[in-house]
Parts: sequence; structure tokens; C-alpha cells
Amino acid sequence: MIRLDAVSYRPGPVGGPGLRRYAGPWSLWGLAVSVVITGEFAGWNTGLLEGGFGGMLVATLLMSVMYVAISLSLAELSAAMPHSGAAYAFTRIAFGPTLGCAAGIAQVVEFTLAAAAVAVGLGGYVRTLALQAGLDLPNVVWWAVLYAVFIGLNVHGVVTLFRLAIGLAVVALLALVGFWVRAVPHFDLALALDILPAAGGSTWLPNGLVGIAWAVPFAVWFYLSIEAVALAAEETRDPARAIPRGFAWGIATLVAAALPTFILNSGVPPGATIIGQADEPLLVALAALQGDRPRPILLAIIGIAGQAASFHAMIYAYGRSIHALARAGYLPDALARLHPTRRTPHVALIAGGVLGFAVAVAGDLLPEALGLEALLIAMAVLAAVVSYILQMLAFLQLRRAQPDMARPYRSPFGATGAMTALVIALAAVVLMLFDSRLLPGFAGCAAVAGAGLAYYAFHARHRLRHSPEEDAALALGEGRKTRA
Amino acid sequence: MLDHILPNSLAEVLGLAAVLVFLLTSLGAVLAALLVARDNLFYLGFQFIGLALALILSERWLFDLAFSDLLHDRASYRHAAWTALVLAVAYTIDMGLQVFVWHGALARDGREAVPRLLVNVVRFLLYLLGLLIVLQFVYDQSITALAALSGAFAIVLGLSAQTTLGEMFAGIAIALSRPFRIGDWVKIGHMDEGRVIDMTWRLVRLEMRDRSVVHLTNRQCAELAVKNYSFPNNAIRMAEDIFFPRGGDPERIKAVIRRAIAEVPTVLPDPPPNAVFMSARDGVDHYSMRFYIREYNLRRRIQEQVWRSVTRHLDREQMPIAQPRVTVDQFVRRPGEGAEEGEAEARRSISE
Repeated sequence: MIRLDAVSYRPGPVGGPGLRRYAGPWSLWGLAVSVVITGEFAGWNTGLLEGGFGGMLVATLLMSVMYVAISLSLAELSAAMPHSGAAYAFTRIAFGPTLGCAAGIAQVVEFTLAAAAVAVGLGGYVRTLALQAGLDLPNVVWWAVLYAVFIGLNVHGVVTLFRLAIGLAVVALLALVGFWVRAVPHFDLALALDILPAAGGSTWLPNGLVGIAWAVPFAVWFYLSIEAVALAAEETRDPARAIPRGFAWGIATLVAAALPTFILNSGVPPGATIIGQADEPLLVALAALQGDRPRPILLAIIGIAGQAASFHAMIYAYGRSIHALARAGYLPDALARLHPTRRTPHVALIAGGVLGFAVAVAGDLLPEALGLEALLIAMAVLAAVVSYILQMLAFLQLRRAQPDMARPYRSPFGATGAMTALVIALAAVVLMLFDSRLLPGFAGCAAVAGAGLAYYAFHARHRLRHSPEEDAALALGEGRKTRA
Repeated sequence: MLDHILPNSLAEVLGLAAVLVFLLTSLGAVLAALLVARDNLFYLGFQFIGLALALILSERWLFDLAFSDLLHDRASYRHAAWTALVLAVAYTIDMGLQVFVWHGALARDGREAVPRLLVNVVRFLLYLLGLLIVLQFVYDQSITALAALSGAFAIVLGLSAQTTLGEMFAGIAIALSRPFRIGDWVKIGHMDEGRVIDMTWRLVRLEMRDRSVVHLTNRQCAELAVKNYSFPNNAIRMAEDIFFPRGGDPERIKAVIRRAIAEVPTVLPDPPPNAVFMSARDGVDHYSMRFYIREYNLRRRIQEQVWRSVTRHLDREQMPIAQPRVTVDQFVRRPGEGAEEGEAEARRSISE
């Protein structure tokens, strides 16, 4: 049996200046809202077919509880350990390098694949707009252009990227508010309940109580990826104050946005059955409300708002995740390099972009029956839930084993909140195991995790480096030994 | 179609969501309390209340869906849910008292000041009240009969357990008047002084200086005079006698003693140490060294430190310590001799 936690370090940390501190609470709010907001525009609606309006409502409320608990728990962890590794940092410090590496891999998989999935959707909208302007280029070209533009904006510097995140978040929220205003007069509960019940179901729960469980993975879309805020810790001024505010304001905004969007979008023409099947539920509903006055350009712009915001923020998130892992030696050194003047992790951003683009192209080339896109989304969701489980375990372990650790911010829900989130996340994973459509996603995640851990076990763990995360973990370990 | 079983209105679906949310958060809180830290029990009470309320509001569909096999009829479901609510409220008040009163307002120096006895009596009464409310309002059992029954029961109990109850009420009296707390150094009656290590519903345990443990009943403690060295004044004055040859300068002597005692770290700086010129008898000047200490249990060690410091200073100042001289006249009467002429007189000095 290999002792996987036995690691050795190369001398010295990676030299040169680190990431640049700029963000305040509002920047982090912008990051939180923009990284998630695409989930309010599309993705959640399939849950209507699974759970019906009632089941989706229950699932959404459950996910709201889970994500509020997760956000505030992560705020506590991130304020106490403000390192850009986030999931990797917390798990590394609580449980050692092997699980830390696993959490880091899960985080990279989540954001890289989610970015690829968003790129595909965003490319579709941009193509529609371009066709209106008489420009006909294949999807692949648009994906490449989008990746190039947004990676360029990310490399340009923290000031640009955080301002852009705030701007895109505000535009996307305004698009949602515009939709609510337009939809409220047409809301009809009967439309939300128009899904035909299966045997044993009711109008509110067409697939019975089990439908709630099947709706949960789709309700996750309303909040998926909010944990990206923790990745900005090293680019935040005064992280102990700003990160908890960024998390709290972000999750409050998203809860306030998710519930009206879900209720109104389900209850306006053409009704929940069609909305549940739509690729762009918000646009389908808006088109129906517009009646005989279609304005596809406006609709495409609204669609772009949410997806562009999330694409931008997800590129930021995978860039920091890869950078932090490479900086500590878990990934090749080159990926840790910072741009000499911009001080952004340009190599990690480009590498993750190339990977995401390749995945998107592979999905386009392979026959649709293989369902690569669905597989990617399933893998992203699974990786996210696994990283939540590891991070909540890290929270509980640190509360138990390090009760006196300096915590500038303490989650008001404490261990209860983290344990509740852990229970819900574990239940979600178990439920997903029973969904045969998600099994390829499990296999994909296991394959990536297996490859990553093999790289760690046979190569990386003998050549780690002293990064902020590793030093914090070693310092805590020393403290433990001294006390003993 | 099973519309009559599944929740099928907004209120019922929200009830279902509430049941699930409070069930999961309660589960999370219990697991967290068991595995991580028991700092969430007060909030757990509110989660239980929320769960019980959700169960009450969801009766219409939840009974048919999940409890029809388990419980006889809707009435038993309703009774069980209301009972759970009342007990959850009692639990919440109990935990609230724990957090805000016993460990909050009434705690002293971060430790529980109110004896466990009083806490347990209050908790018992709280849950008893809860049960009575359940009996009266949920199960419609008149508690008048129960009160009469418990009155008779109380008389029987009171007569048979008179001594024990006396101890218990003496314990409550001690708890309220608080002549001492756990950890205090006390002298009760004519016993040696000892440290209070436990106070139960019947006994007070004192640990003596030699580590033996003395058990006193609460009634004994309530009746005897209690001298407390730790509370409410935890600065206790110590006095040590010291003698010097006649004719020394009192101000100089007092200054040296004050300085010497002040150097001992375990002696309190405030009130400051002092020396008092007591008398000039038996051929010596008698002074009393006075100083205040907080750790009464360490007083012997502190006395030793004080004496070491004082003698060191006096040696340095070349000020010898004197012995009081006592003159004893001894008369010996030999057998057969007259009282007046047969008396031999011997003089010798003894020193104390």
C-alpha cells in the first residue's frame, strides 16, 4: 500500500510577484452573480418535466437551503484561509495532500467543462446574431472567437475582469427583471401545472414524490458554481471582510432572482410542458409573450447576457484553480506562470481554454446520439457536488480538530449548516447514482480523477512546491505536533 | 390518480418543502452535535419546532401518505404532532436557559455558578409543565384530578422522604443565597478549611488540604457558620508576626518589609502589603507583616516565599531578627520546709 500522503518538496516557492489584489465586496458579488446567472436562463427547466411545478418548487427550496449553507461555510473557510486554491486549499489543510489534490481536480473539471458547455450555448446565440447581420460562420469558429476574446479579457488584468464581471452581472439581472415585469400580468397557475400526471402522480407532483429527487440535479443550476468566489481570495483586498460579504450578497441576490424566474417562467404561455422541453426557456416564454411581434435580436441579446457573464467568470475560475494546483506542484510548473506585467495566470487560462475548446469540438464532431454535451454537463455537476462534499467535510474537520484556529468570519449556521449541506449533497449523489442517464458522467469523473490521482501518486507528490496553501497546511500540522 | 394522497395545492407543497427542510436541517444539527461540537443545541430547538409545525400543517396529506399504517387514526397523528411541538418548545426553552442564563447571565468567570441541582430542578419542572400541557390540551385529560392525585402523592412522598427533601430544599437555599461556589476555599463550622469540589442535591463535598474528602449534608452547611476565603472577596489578608531588637527605626523597618513583600509575585499589589508596629514588650519590637493573596490554596507556599524575601532583604540591610524574651520565675518547695524560709529561687530564661 503506497502511503499517498507522504510527499516531498522541491526547495523554494515559485518566484516572482503573486496575483494582484484589487477586488472588494462588490467585485466578488459581481463574480458570484455572473458565474451562476446562466443557470437562471436555462438548464433548470428540465426539472419541470421530472418533478412538475410542485416538485421543482420543493427541489429549488431545498437547493436554496443547501447553497446558503455552503456559501456561508465557504465564506468562513475562505476568510480563514484566503488562498486561491479554494476547494484544494481547504481540503489539503484539513485532510492532507491526496484529498486536497482530488478536490482540486474536481474543481478544475467542474469549471473547465462548465465553461465548455456555456461556450457551446453562447456560440449558438452569437451565430444567430451574426446570421441576422449576414455573416455565416460555423459554430467552431465562433467558439474559438469567444474563447479568444474572453481569455484575452481575463489575461488583461484583474481590474478589467472584475469590472466586466460586475457589468455583465448587472446586465443579466436587468434582463431577468425585464422578463419578470413582462411576465407578471400573464402569469397563470394553471399553465405552471399543465404537465400531465403519470400514474400515481398528482397535478402538483406529476411523477410523485420521487420526481422531487429527479428534479434536484436541475434545481442545482440556480446556484451552481457560486463557490468560484473563494478562488478570488488572493486577488481581494482585505479578504477577511470582503469574501464573506461577497458570498452573502451573491447568494442573497441569486435566491431573490431564482424564485421569481422559476415561478414566472413556468406559469406563462406556452406553459410548463413546453418550457420544460425548451433549450432556452426564458426566450421561448418571451417569444410567446411577444405574440406576433417577434424581435429575435433583442431575444438573442438577452440570451447572450446571462451566458456571457457566466462564460467570463468560469474562465476566471478554471484559470485560478489550475494556477493554484500548478503553483504547488500538483500540475506541471508551466501552468503556474503569471503574465510578467498583467500578473494574471495566462498559461493556465489558455491551457484550460484549449482543453475546453477541444472538448466542445469533440462534442460537435461525434454523433449526437453519444450525447457528449449531456455527458459534460453531468460531469460538471457531479464534480461540483463531490467538491462540495469534500469542502463541507473539511469545514467540519477543522471545526472539530482546530476549534481555536483564527476565523475572522464564522458562519452563522456553524457546523449545523455544513452538516446539512453535506447530508443534502450526499443524498444528491446517491440519487444521481440511480439515474442511468448520469452513469456515463460518473464514469467520466472517475476516469479524470483516476488519471489525476495517478499523476499525483507517481510523479507530482515527489516534487511539490511551497505554495501558500502548502505552507498553511504544514504550519497547521506543525502546530498540532507541538501541542501534542 | 392519487390526488387525495399527494400534496396537491401550494400550501401542501410548501408544507412538504418545510417538512423536508426541517427534517434535513434537524438531522444535520443532530449529526453536527454528535460528531463536531455541541454549540448548536439552542437552534436545534427551533428546527424541532419548525418540523413539528410543518407536521401539524401537513396532516391532511401526510397522514394518508406515510402514517396511516403506523397510527390508528388522524386524531393520534394530531396528538403526536402537537405533543412533539410542546416538547420541542420545552426543549428550546431549556436550551435557551442553558445558553443565556446558566452559562450566560448567571455564569461567573466563565463557569457555571448556579449549582447543577437548581438547574436540574428547573429543567424537571419545565418538562413536567410541558407534559401537563400536553395532557390537558392535547389529550383532554383534566389535570385537576392529576393535580389532586399529585397532591396526595406529594404528601406521602413528603412524609417518607422528609430528610431527603429537607436536604434538597437546603440545597436550593444554598443555591440562592450562594455562601460558596464550587472551587471556593471555605471553613464550615469548626472543621478545617477545605475546597468545595461538588454540590449535589444532597451533599456538599470538601477536599481538605491533605486530599481527604469530607461530605457535609446541605442542611449542615445551611445551619453552620461558613467562612469563605474565595468569595465574594477573593483577596484574603494574611498576617505574619516578626520581631526586632528594641530601638530600631520603625519607618526603616516597615519600608524594608514592604519592599521585600512587594517583590513576591503571588502577593497582590493592591491592596498593598504593609507592616504594623504592634508592641514593644518582652525586650523586642513586635511588628505584624500584612499582605493580600488571591490563591488561598497556595497560602503556605506564599508564606514561605514572603519569609524568604523578607529574610533576604533584612540580611542585606544587616538588620537582625530578634527573639522575644520571657522571664519565668520558678519556686521550688522542699518537703518539710517552711513556706517562708524553705524557698529556693532559681532564675533562668527561656526563649520561645
